[in-house]
Parts: sequence; structure tokens; C-alpha cells
Amino acid sequence: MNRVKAFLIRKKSEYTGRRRSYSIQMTISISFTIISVCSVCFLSIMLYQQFVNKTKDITIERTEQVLSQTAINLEDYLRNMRRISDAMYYTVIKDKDLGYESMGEEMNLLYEANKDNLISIACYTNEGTLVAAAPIANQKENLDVEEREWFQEAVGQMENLHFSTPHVQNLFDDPSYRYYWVISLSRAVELTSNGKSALGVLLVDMNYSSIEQLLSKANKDNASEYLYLMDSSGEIIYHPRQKLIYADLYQENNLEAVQYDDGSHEEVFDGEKRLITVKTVSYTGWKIVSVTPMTSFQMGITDMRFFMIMLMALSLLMVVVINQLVSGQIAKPLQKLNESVKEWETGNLYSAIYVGGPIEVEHLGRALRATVAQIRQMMQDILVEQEEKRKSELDALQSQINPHFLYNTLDSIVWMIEGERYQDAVFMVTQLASLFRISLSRGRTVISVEEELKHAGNYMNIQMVRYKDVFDVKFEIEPEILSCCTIKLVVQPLLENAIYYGVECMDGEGEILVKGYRQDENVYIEVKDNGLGMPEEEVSQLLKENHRVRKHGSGVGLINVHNRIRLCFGESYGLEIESAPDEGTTVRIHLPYICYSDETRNKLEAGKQRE
Amino acid sequence: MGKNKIYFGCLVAVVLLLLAYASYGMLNRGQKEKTYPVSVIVDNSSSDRWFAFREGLKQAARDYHVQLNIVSTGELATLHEERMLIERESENGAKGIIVQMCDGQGEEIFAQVQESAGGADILLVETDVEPEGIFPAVIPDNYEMGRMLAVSIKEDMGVLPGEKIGILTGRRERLSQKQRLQGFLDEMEGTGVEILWQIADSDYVQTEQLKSVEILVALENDETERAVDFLADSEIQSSALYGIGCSEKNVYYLDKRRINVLIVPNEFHMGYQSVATIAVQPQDHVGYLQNPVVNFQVVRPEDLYEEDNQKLLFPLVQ
Repeated sequence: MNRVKAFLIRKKSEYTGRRRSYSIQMTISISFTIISVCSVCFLSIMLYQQFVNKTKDITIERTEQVLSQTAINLEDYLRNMRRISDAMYYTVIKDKDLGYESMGEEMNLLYEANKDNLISIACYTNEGTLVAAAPIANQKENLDVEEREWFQEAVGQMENLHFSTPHVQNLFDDPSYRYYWVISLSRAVELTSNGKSALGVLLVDMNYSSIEQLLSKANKDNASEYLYLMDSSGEIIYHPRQKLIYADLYQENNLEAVQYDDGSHEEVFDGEKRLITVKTVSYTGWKIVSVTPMTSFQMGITDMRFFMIMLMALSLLMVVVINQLVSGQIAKPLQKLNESVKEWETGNLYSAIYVGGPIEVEHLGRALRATVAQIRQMMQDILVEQEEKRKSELDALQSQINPHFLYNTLDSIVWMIEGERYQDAVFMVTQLASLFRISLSRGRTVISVEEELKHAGNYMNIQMVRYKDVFDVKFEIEPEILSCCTIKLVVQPLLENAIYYGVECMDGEGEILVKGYRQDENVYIEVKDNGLGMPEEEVSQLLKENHRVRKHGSGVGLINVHNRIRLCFGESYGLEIESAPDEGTTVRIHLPYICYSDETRNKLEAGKQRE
Repeated sequence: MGKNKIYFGCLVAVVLLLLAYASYGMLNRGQKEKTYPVSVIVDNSSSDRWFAFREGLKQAARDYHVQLNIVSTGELATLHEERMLIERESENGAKGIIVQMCDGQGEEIFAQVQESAGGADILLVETDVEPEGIFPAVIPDNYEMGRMLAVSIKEDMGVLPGEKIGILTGRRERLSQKQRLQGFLDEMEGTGVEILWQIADSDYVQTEQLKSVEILVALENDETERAVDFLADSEIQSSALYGIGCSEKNVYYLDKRRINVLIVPNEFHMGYQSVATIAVQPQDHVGYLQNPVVNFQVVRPEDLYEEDNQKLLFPLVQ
């Protein structure tokens, strides 16, 4: 279970990871493309469906037209046949007295005039005896005419004309071995013989070929659509595959179709969905049936389908290209901006941040460019600061090898040796050595307060030899601050200033007090003299950059000390000066309370403490 | 950018494939539906006896998009003559050839006919060759037809011993004729009938021979027609005629009751089925192992005009 969970989480993270890796251009392009593809497909399908429906409607309409036309032609043909029958009956048979007249000549004339559509015309008595026939032919022997369907129907329903289904004529002998399929039109007639009326039957045998030709015109070769003709009982009169149906090689749904009313119907026959349109031929009750397989609608529109696919493909191609261009237009400036930021990230601080493209991207570029410029400036400032720090330290160091101080000290030592004050000379040399050792401090910037005060003590011991009895020095240091951190050479310049500006000319009354104490997290080291002091305006100028006065000593001013403390510990630390004319001067060093160790020293030297 | 290019490339490729498919479809639709050329070689092809067969061929040609060529032939007397025709039709581009073999015996026939046909497929009609089944064939059950002729005689005559029968066999080198004769003889075996003669070519039949028999049996359409002509002679009118055939002349004389029983193979079916078979399975010879069998009808004068017989015997359009 846990494995599955882990797998799912991994897959999810892979997936989300992949998603995130898409570029803006690709995301825009894919989104637009999906929307476009859906729209184009939807439109194409709708258009195609519309076309299919329209085609179907047109096909149905055309089929109905063909059907109507065929029905009209067939009715016309059958009307002609009825007219022949009527003409024979009303103008010939009714006018003739068969007792002494023959109807053969008129019958022959009528036959000759219509022989393209007729096989024969014959007239029979009620007993089945042949009265007359055209064309003149030998009647077959042993014929039971009364048994024939056409005869029985004519006699059975005397008021009507009767159309039979197709059958082979079996009345007359044809020595050319020909047999004809005919449709018999029979009717009951009144025969007059020697003034007496008797019932008879008039038979007009229509050539089946005429009907076959008439209907086959409506059936195109090889087309899946076709029409067929059946009588009112569903028996097929004409079918384009009639012989196949007779040979049981083809099936037709005629017995079902005969139930249909005129109009279009859908049916499934032999696994095939078909549209059936039925039209009833007047008088005979025959039905012309048009069969259109549903697949034929599809076949007719295959071209359209390919055309739609082509149209869709072309639209898609256009959309894809436009998508690429548009997404490129949107994403290009962002990509350029991204590239320039990447270059900046690699460390090239002077790479130009791209500014261009749409307003939003341009604004972003400008903002980034300004930020980069600021960062660059800040880094520049840091460099300058570092340089300054280095310079300040160098200045402070240089102050320790001030030629005057060194000359005076060495002169004092020489004078002591000459005066055979060897103990004093040794003390002076020892103090000088200690002073330089702490000044150098192996190149360290940060030392402990204890060492710094020792350095100050060494300096004062040397100066005390030189300024014998001119001033007094007192050190009041709280022991707890001795182990704190300070930067080196901060107390000595203050003492130097106190000597030169405060107590040098006080003839034994000068006092210098060095006081060190802790207040909360702060450490203060004060150098207090009772010298001449200075007005407030002068005090306020002492810690300003442009106030560099070099009158005496090493020339390393208070500003140097102040700056170095601030560079190392931060802006809230440094020097504080209190002075008033004739009341002396107090210069206070303000440091943070940080215990001295190698670690804190390294941190402070690396400048991390400020952070 | 790389992914975008791949995506763009794939999309364009898909669209181009769609375009190619649609173009191919449209171009292909423009071409006419291909027809399959089939030649038909039968003995005396313009004869009336092939009327229904031709109708069947034409109907199937329409249904199966076959370009049909019924080769005009006279009497095909030799295999050599027939092979020449097959060769010519094959050279003229026929992909399938429907043949009525004039000679059906001998192992070498298969190789000879195949050689003449070149790449065209051969389908036999009416008569097979020996050994059977080496060519696809659409044939009636010849043996059964011969047997049914004997059965009809037995039904009509009742007691047969002593009845004298003469048989017009037709060309016995044809397997169909051999089978019909075999069927007839097998059925007659043990009935006591006396088969006086069996003659292949009716041209050589003598009047005396005709006079000597009470029952005349013709096993082929043309022989039945000739037998009818013989019986027109008043001297031999008393003989009963039993035949196999489908021509209008035979039907006419059946109607005139000069033929007692006529066995009519469904030649429309044979024509239709032969084209259908060769058009549907032109290359798949294994499919021919199930050869379609054509049915036949035993017709007597009194039931000539029955609906089923009308549909079988009389062509709809003259």
C-alpha cells in the first residue's frame, strides 16, 4: 500500500514537474490548438451532417419524382391498353352480330396499330370457344380456357377490367418455338349472335416486355437504388433481378412492402437498412416500390467527406501556423527577458536586461533593469566601503610608525642610555615592542578589549616618559569587558588626541581617564581629559568627512576611528563626543557586547556580524 | 523551444497526413470503378440453348462489375481448338475464363489448359474434367440428371422388362455426358430393359436403329432436339422420348407432347453462379473446393405451365 502511495506521489511529482517544464509559447500554442481543433471539427461535422441530411432529402425527392413519373408512364400505358379493350368492345363487338358478321378484320387492324405493345387480342364465348383472335393463329389443342384465371375473373366480376400477373401465354401455337410473357387484360363482353345476346370474354394480352422496358428505364445499371412493381397482393410483376428471385438467388421484401401505404418508409431487410417509397398505380392497385439502401446516401457523399477532411486539414494547418506566430509574438519578449535574466544569473552583472514587447513585458523589463542597476550600485558601494575600510586600517597602521613619534621615542631611549638609565631604556624598548606587536596583531583587524587597552597602556607609558609630569593617566576598566571584541587601534588615537589637544600644555595638571564599562549589550570605553575642551559647533564637525584636521600626531583623526567602528559593527556604533570649552573633552567608544573568540573574530572580519 | 518545435512538427505532420489521405481519397474516387474482364467459351455460343445461361452471365456481370465477353464459337470439336481460344482470350487481357470443356479426360488436360490460360483463372461450366475438382466448376449434378431420366421412364412405363431403349449419349469424351450416362445406366440396372444401342453422334443414327427401340433417351440438349426431329418421321413416331435440354425448341416439343419428360438444368443459375464465383474469388483456388451445384427440374408436358416451371423455362424478355 505504501509502495503504491509512494509510486503515485512520484508519478504525480513527475507529472507536475513535466507540466511546469512547458514553455509559455508551447502552453499558449497547445491551448489555442486544442480549442481550434475542437471548433474546426465541430464545424466540419455539423457542415457534413447538414450536407448528408440535404443529400438524403434530395435523394428522397428525386426518388419520389422518378416514382411519380414512372407511375404516370405506367398509368398511361395501362390506359392505352384499356382504350384498346374499350375500342374493341364498344366500336367492334357491340356493333357486330356474330351470326352473320366477323370481327376479325377490325381486331386485326387494332392489333396491327398496337402490336408493339400487344401479343394478341382474342374474344371467347362464355363456353370458352374462340370467336376471333389477332394475329390469326392456331389455337392449341385441349385448352381449358374457362379454367384460366383471367377468364374466371372476367366472368366473376363482369363490370370490371382485370389485369393479371405476368404469365406465359398458352393459347396459340407458334411454330417459331416462341413463348411470350404477357399480362392479360380481360373483361366480360356482350356478344350478339343472330340478334341474341350472350356473355363472352375479351382478352387483350399485353407484351410484358413493354412494361419491363418502361420500368427498367427508371432503374439505372449497377445502382444500388432500384424500383420494382407488384400487384395488390404483393406478387412481383417486374423486378430488375426478377430471374434471380425466380432462381432463389435474391430475396425481396415484397410481401411486407405491400402492406405499406403510399409514401416513404424505413425498413430493415436482410440486415440492410433501406428507405422504401411506395406509389400505388391507379385502377390496377399495382404498387411501384422504390428501394434505396441507406448506404447509398453515404456512397454519394464520400467525395464530400474527403473534401471536408481536406478543408479541415487546411484550416488546422492555418490555425497551427497562426497559433505559432501569435504565441511566438507573445512569448518571444518573455523568452528574451528570461534569457537576459539567465545571463545575469550566470554572473554577468553588466548584461543588458531586455526591454521590449507588449506594455506589460516592457514594464517588467524596465523594473528588472532598474532593480539590477540598484543591485549593481549597491555592490559598487560595498566595494567602495571595503576599500575605505582597508584604507582606514592602513591609515591607522601607518599612524603607529609615525616618524615623529618613533624619532621622539628612540631619542628618549638614546638619552636614557647616555644617562645610564638602563632600566628605563629597557622599559621603553619593551613598551615600544609591545606597542608594535599589538598594532600588527598578525594582520588581524579584531582583537580583544584587553589587548587594545594593553596597546593603549604601552603607548601611554612611552608618552609618559616623554611628557614627564605633564599629565596623569588613570585606567578604570570593568574586568568583564576585557574579553569583548573590538577593532584594534581605536583607543590609542583618542589618547593621542587627548594629549595633543587636551593636556599637553597644562603643566602637570592634566589628567586623562580611560574608563571601560558595560551597559546592557553595549560596551563603552571613554577617554576623558580635563583639557581646554571645545565649543559645541566644533564638536559637531569632528565626525564629519570633510573635517580632517591634521595639526599633530599621526593625523589619524577621530573620523577614521568612527568610520572603522561603524564599518565593522554597524551604523549604530562608533564615537560619541562630549566637550565644552574649559571643561575638557570626553570621547566615548560605543561597541556591541560580543565575547572575543576565534569564531566571532572571523565573523567580524568577514563582515558578517553586520548582517 | 525544442519541445515546442517537436510539438509543432508533430502537429504539422498529422495535418499533412490528413491532407494526403483526403487527396488520395478524392483522386481515387475520380477513377472509374475497375471492372474484371471475363471471357466465356462455350460450344456454339450463339445457340438458343445458351439463352438462359447468357441471361445469367449478364445479370451477374452487372452485379459484380464484370466486363463480360462471350466468345463467338461454332462447334468446339477438339481440345486444341479450345486451347487456342483460351490462349487468345488470355492474351486479350481476360483475367478469368469460363470454359465448357469439349474434352474432359486425361491427366495432362490440367497442365495444358493452365498453360494456355497464362495468368487467367479458369472456371468450368456444365462439364467438369477428370480428375474432378482440379478446376473450379459450376455444373449441374450430371449423374443425378441421368438417374432422374431413368426414374421418369420407370414411373411412366411401370413394368420395364423387355423394353428396348436407344441412347443418344452426346460426346462421351465429355465428363458430363459420361456421368449422365452412368447415372442412367445405374438406375436402369436390374430392371430388365434392353439397351439396344448407345450412339454419341446422332448424325450416324440410322432409321432402322430408331425403329427398333420403344424408348429414345437423349442425354444432351442438341441430341434431344435431333431426337425430336427423328420422331417427326411418321415411321418412328411411336417411340417415347426422354431427354435433357433447355432450348426453346425442346420446350416447344415438350408442350406439343413429343417429348415425354424433359430434364431442364437451371442454366440461368449456372451462368450467374459462374460469373459470381470467378469474380468473387479470382485468386483463391481453395475457395473453389466448394463448387456450387446447379439445380435442375424434371418437367412433364402437363405441368409445363406451372408457375415454377414457367419461371425456369421461359425467358422473360424475348
